[in-house]
Amino acid sequence: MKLSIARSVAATMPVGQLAALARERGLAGVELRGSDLDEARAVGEALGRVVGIYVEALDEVRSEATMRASALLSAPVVAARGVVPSEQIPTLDAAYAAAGAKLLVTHGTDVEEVALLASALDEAKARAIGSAWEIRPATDPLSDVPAILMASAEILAHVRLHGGGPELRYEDAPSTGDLFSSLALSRYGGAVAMMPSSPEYAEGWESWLAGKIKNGCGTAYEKKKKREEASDRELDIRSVQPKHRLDTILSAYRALSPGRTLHVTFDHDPSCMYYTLDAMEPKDSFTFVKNGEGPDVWYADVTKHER
Amino acid sequence: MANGIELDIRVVPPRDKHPTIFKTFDALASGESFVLINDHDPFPLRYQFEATRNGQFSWSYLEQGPEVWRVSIGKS
Repeated sequence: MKLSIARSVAATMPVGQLAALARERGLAGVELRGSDLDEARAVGEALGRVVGIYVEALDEVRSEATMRASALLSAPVVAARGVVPSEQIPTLDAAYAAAGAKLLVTHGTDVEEVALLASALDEAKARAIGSAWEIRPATDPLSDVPAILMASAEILAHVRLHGGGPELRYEDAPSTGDLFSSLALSRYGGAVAMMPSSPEYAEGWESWLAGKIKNGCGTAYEKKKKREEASDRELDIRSVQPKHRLDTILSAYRALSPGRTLHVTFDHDPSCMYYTLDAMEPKDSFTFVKNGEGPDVWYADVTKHER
Repeated sequence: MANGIELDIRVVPPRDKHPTIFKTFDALASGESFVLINDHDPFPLRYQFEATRNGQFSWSYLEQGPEVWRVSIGKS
């Protein structure tokens, strides 16, 4: 799967800047809107990979300019849910095939909708049309995910994910683990374009993309370090970015005085921390007690033994 | 789609990350592998694999940062 971002992450940012930030973030590419195409053309090669061109009107789907852009950018046109009537699929299939372009018709997390689309695409003999799946994990019936993946196995080429990004750290972030495990095991290799799950979250996304989300944990830690070296320590790892968590925990543990305890608060099962300390620290140098069984908060008390 | 199995764990909330990885690994047939994609070095996970699935897995880095890590994890 190719993790990407959609235009709505930063709707007013210049397209070239958005693409550059996505690259710096290690993302595969950007899903643009049809209205971005003129700007995208001006940016040229520096744009990097476009994973889709999202359009919301049938006229846009049928326009030759859209098809030409799809062929030029090697990016499928992703037609919004409900925009393409199934009786037009054979005609559009022929037109897209002739233009060397690709069209994806979007469905939701709805097994019946996917089955109807799959049978309509059977009539698309030129195979220039596939499907895109729009997922809203917060509200969609995720128990239907396996059935949807089975019904769309031959046609699915794009996923539009409402959520991800900075929203993963919100306490009410929906559990998408099974969804991603199922996608992986189905050997899905297309794009997963993330976008804000609601407009009110859009601002958080822009800062996330720009890497501006920092938290005071590290600095606060430095200030408190001197004071607390000789006492028990508390560390709430939930506000630390995942990539910095291990270093934060290890340095807090290593700064701990013998006989003292580090109380850590987690938003995941801390067993991995036990195995890591066990592998990296001298044998029998600490005691690890895990408290809580989630689902949202776990605690661990790590006591450093007296030497 | 005839692709390899790729699990991008960056889109999964922290509490679900390791359970999702183990669930995916446990669903593999012997001899299969998957590529784990992450935004930091997942080496603590390797220790957890060693502790809980010792001798049953292989681990090889395909990409090591600075933004993206890719590890091929195979089932023996």
